[in-house]
Amino acid sequence: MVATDISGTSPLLLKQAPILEEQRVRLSLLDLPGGSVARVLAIVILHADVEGALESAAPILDSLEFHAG
Amino acid sequence: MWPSGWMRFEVRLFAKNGETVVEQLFSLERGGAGRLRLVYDFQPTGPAGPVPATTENGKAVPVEYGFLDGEVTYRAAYPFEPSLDAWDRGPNRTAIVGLRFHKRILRLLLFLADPRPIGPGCEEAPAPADAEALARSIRTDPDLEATAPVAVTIGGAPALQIDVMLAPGASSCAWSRPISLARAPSS
Repeated sequence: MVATDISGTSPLLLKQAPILEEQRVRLSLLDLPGGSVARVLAIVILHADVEGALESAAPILDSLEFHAG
Repeated sequence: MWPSGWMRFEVRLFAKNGETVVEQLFSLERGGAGRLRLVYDFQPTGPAGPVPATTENGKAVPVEYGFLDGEVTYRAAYPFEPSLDAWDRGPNRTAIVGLRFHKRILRLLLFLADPRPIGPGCEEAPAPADAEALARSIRTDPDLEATAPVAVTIGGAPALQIDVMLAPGASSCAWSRPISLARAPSS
């Protein structure tokens, strides 16, 4: 796999997470269990307004498990 | 198969008197030393494009993936899978692609660990101490329009859910990203 860099300018939702005009995102924010390498997990459904996005994301979110500690 | 080439096998497993049928695709090919080997096709391709590697009663079987060195696991079924784009693969970031939209393949989900909000001058703010602080930061960002947080449960853990759009006249910030030349999704 070959990698290079591109750059741009746009509004940002979070660091390195551009958001487009008219784009609706759904954020789920949760505290990770103590002992985890991170404190906060953000799960972003990037195109919540696209047909089928929320339905497709639901089983993935339902399957989340946390194993810290 | 001689002296090169490969063959594909579709393997069917029956259980519960045929109530459950599992189908998997394998390839028989020659390894570097010329010996035959049976290989499970993780990402097989059919005549019309990619097809699921394993199905149960015709439906794609979810595959387990990990994030944060396995501290967070999730299961995704074809066509959804972690992106192979360099932009999406980092210790604090992973994306799941496969959302079809007008002949494009979009990112469906993005997982971010300790995400950093962006300040009014495009500077990175410190990582918020907890989810509530991050929600507050997003809601007070003048470039964003965010709904009030709603308490939900994800993976058995309490979470805050917010819908976000850009505010009119939102300011822009510079960003850069690595891009791989293989399988980069559209957005």
